[in-house]
Amino acid sequence: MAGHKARILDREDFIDYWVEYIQTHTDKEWSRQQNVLINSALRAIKKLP
Amino acid sequence: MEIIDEKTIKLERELNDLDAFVLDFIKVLQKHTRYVLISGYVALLFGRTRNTEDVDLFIEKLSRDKFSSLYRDLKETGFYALNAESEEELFSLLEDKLSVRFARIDAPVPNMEIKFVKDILDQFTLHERIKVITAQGELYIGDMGLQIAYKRFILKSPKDLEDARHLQKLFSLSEEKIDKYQRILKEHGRS
Repeated sequence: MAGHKARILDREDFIDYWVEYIQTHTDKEWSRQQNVLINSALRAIKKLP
Repeated sequence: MEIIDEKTIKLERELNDLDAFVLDFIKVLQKHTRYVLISGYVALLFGRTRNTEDVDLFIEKLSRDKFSSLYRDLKETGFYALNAESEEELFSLLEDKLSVRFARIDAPVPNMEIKFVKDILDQFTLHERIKVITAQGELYIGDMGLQIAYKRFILKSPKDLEDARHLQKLFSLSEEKIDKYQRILKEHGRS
């Protein structure tokens, strides 16, 4: 249970960190990083047989 | 990101494959009806680092003839419906307040999950929609406070709570404002 709680806090911390990153960087900068995640997942699905 | 006014946001992000899919679909859709994008895609548009297989939106309630015209246009531009075989079935699903899903012919993921507006709260979401200007086109999204409250107090999955946290922090919305939306949701039978 303690581990689960810690993981949630980890994720919440990351969300807060990432929001701050978005607020302190240009749209182009943060979106390039986000797009790596989104594009790679969608392209991987397309390659499925 | 630049908040131009209460109803307009300019976003200079680079678009990804999901955004391109949404914009392609919206180009067809908006010739036939008003729409509002809601839920997860709104969080993704503003930077959430996660994936989704569907994009939720409301459209105005259409007559059978108008839906027929939209359906024909979608088919002609390379989209197909995932969850029904015929136009009649699709329209019937929408009339029954259920969703229909459209994807590109060669790829069921991602897909657009469409519903007719069903009550005053959905009408409000559509009427009070916010324009997001991107380099490749405009998109309309639901009111941010309502999106956050819906995710936090109705959907409540870990993913939705994280989306809500992301949007609330990004747009610096107060707890008081989100509470106000929670009350509106309750008043309209969402709980």
